[in-house]
Amino acid sequence: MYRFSTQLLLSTAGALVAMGAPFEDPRIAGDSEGTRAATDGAMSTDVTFVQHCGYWSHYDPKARTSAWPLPHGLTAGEMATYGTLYGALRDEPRAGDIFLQWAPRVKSVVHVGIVVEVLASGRFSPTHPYHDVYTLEGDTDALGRRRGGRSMRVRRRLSAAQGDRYLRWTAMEFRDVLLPQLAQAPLIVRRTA
Amino acid sequence: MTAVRVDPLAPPTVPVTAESVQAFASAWRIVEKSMTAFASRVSDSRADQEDLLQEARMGLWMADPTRYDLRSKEDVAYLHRVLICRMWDAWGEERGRKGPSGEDGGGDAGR
Repeated sequence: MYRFSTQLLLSTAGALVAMGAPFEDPRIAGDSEGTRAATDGAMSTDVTFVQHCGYWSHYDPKARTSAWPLPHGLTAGEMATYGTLYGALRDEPRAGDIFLQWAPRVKSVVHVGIVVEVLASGRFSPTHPYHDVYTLEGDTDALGRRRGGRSMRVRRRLSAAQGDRYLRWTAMEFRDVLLPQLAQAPLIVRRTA
Repeated sequence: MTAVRVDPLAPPTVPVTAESVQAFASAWRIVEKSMTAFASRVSDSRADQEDLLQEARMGLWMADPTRYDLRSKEDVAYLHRVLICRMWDAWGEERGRKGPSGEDGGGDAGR
C-alpha cells in the first residue's frame, strides 16, 4: 500500500480540476431551492471531489485497495468529527490539508476542499486571524461560492476564528498503532476499479 | 463517473483561479437596499449613514459571503441580522463617544 502523500493528492486533484471534471450531483441538478434543501446533510459533490481524489491517488492496484484514510460516505460535518476523533484537526493550514469551511447559521461544516498553498496570513483583529489559501475544490463557481457545480482552483480566505478548520489527514498514518482501540473501525472501504 | 474526453492542446475550459473575494460584490448587492434603509432609519445625517454602511461592508467582508448560501432565504436573513447587529453596535459606540447631545466637537459636513 502507498504511504500517505500530499503530492499524490494534489497532483490528482490538480489534474481533475484542469480537466474540468464533472462532479455534478444529479440530486441537485434541478437547482431548485426545495431540491437543494432536501439534500442538506447528504454527501455533496465537494466532499465527493475530495474523496475521489484521495481514494484514487492512494489506490494500489496490487493490493486492490486504497490507503486513503477517510471512509467513503462521510458528509462534510462528519469529516470534522472524524478528524476530531483522530486528533487530526488543525487551526493552521498546510499544503495538502483538507479545509473545512464553517457556516455560522447552520453551525456546521458546509464546504470542503484541498489546500494547495498557503499564500499569506494576517489578522482582522488580535483575536481574529485568517489565512489566504489556494485550494482545489468541487461544487464551487468562479466566485468561490458553494454549490456552484464546478471543480475549480480557488483563492479564498479562511479563519479559525470563524470556525474553519483543517483536516491533516497525513496525521492519521499509523493510526491503528497509535490508537489501537480504533483498530477495529472500518476505515478503508473497498471499491471496484 | 462520466468519462471525459480530453484534448491536451485545447485551452482549459475553466478559469484558472476563482477569487472568493469577488463574492463580496454580489453579496453586497443582495443586502445593500436593506442596509441603506436601516442606516437612514437610524440617523438623518448622511455622514452617519455612510459610516454605518461602511461598518456593514466591513462586517460582510469579515463574514466571508462564500460561507453562506445566498440562494437560501434563511442564510440571507441570518446575514442581514449579523450586519444590522454590527451597525447597531457601531452606532451605540458612536453615540457613546459623541455623548447625549450627539456632538463630538468635530465637523459634520453631511448634516
